[in-house]
Amino acid sequence: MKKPSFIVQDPGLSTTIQGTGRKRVARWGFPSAGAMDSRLINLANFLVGNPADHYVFECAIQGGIFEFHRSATIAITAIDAEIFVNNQPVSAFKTQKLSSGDILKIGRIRKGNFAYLAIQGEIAPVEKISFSAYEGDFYNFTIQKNQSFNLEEVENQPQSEYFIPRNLRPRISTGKHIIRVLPGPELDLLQLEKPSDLELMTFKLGQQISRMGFRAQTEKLTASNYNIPSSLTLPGTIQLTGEDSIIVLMRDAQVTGGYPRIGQIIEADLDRFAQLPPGTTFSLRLVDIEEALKQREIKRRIYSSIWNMGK
Amino acid sequence: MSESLQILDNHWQWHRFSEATLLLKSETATLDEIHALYRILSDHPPKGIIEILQAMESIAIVFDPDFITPQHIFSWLMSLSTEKKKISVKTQKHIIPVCYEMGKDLDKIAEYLNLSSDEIIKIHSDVDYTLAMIGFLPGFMYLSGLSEKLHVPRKSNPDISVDAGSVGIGGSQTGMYSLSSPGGWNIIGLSPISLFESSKTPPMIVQPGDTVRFQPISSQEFEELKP
Repeated sequence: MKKPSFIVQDPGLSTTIQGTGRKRVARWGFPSAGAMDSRLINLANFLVGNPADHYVFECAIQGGIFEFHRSATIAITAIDAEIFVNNQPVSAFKTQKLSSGDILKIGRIRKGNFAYLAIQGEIAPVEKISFSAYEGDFYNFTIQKNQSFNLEEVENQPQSEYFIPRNLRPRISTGKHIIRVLPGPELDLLQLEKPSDLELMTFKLGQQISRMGFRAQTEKLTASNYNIPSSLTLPGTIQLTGEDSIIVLMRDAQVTGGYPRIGQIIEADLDRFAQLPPGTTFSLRLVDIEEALKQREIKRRIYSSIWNMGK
Repeated sequence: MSESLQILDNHWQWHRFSEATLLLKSETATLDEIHALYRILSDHPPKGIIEILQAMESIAIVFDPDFITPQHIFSWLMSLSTEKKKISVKTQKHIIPVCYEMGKDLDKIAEYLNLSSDEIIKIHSDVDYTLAMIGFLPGFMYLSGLSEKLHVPRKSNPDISVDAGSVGIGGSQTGMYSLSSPGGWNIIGLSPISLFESSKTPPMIVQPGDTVRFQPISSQEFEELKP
């Protein structure tokens, strides 16, 4: 029998296959899913010459071991992770050429929560995967030990090798983490003298991170009511779940919820928030829609300039 | 919630929920009117509108800010006519077979409500419910119209696993699990048919505003109907 193109010998703590998120499925109750850090999936795909929204492997907290049975062009993007090919350290943010027999190990993710592995071509599971209905399709598929994949070459894929310069790589700042948010529809349920007092609070992330949501605690944050009729939520919605407790909904969250929505993390800050490790403290800054759209545009310009560079 | 718009027969407050989402909420719109607006908006929206979403008291318009501005969306909303309303709000009626004797909590609920199982089945299956909204899980149906006689609080300890097709009662609502999942509703019946297939587009045929009626069946019929 023909050997598969590569085998995931060890999927680490939780490795999934992600794209850039589904559209037009929330009305049926599906979460959008997709990579927790849209910057890193974008750069990983760029480095291997795939379309920007191509499926990649997303590793949480810890990577995995991938055994290749054919040559492949790959790239890993991570804020800071241990990466080895045949036990020799290699760089992230750089196109890597692997040969048949090579063993890629993504070890501990030292900074941030999520790292990405892109492989040039189409990845296809060898055995037909029976997706649970919740996952629906290839999105968000959790990799099992020894899961094997074939790699289907796509014609005319570039052979160029690239690296992302340090100043363009996403980082985690060493200073205070300030996350910008739009005022939520139920911000006025908070018992604050004025809404901007929310900016004075310090939040501390809990010890568990999940693709569904990040919990955090603060002090003296109460609402006049903790239950609202089932309402629409998005990735980045901050809900007050009880006294001093919030949950920030992430990419796999339910599309409706019954807690007050106090804020909405702006698109440009959601990836950065997703990479904050458990226990990190952060504060919120209320911004208006003009500022949110401006930051969205700045982020987009950076990434389109990288893609133009490769043309 | 800030400014307001007149759309069809109601005033709606709008809120810029995210870069790509407008939220509409009305103090006066009934659930039927929310469903009607949801259907009208979902029917051939202008370019740049990605998706229309609906919940108990609100509607969300997901859009691409590169293609359409909120001002254009407001003009579209205010130009909607009642004429269009009549065409697009047609609802369908769905009959769902349910084997009540396979509802794992039916006896407990009967005891709690001081009713016989047969009385519960009769009351529950004698109503045209409305699909109030889809949420919680993909395809989970929140149904409105439950008789007050059958209101039962949710379980304080949710079950680890509730089967797909389970029909339950949670407070003043009844609902149906599209997928097997953890859940806190009291399960009074099980349907052999799946209304939700994630691989299909659309994954379910029941739409918000549609009518749902449960048809009691025996466990033998359940086996025959099971795919």
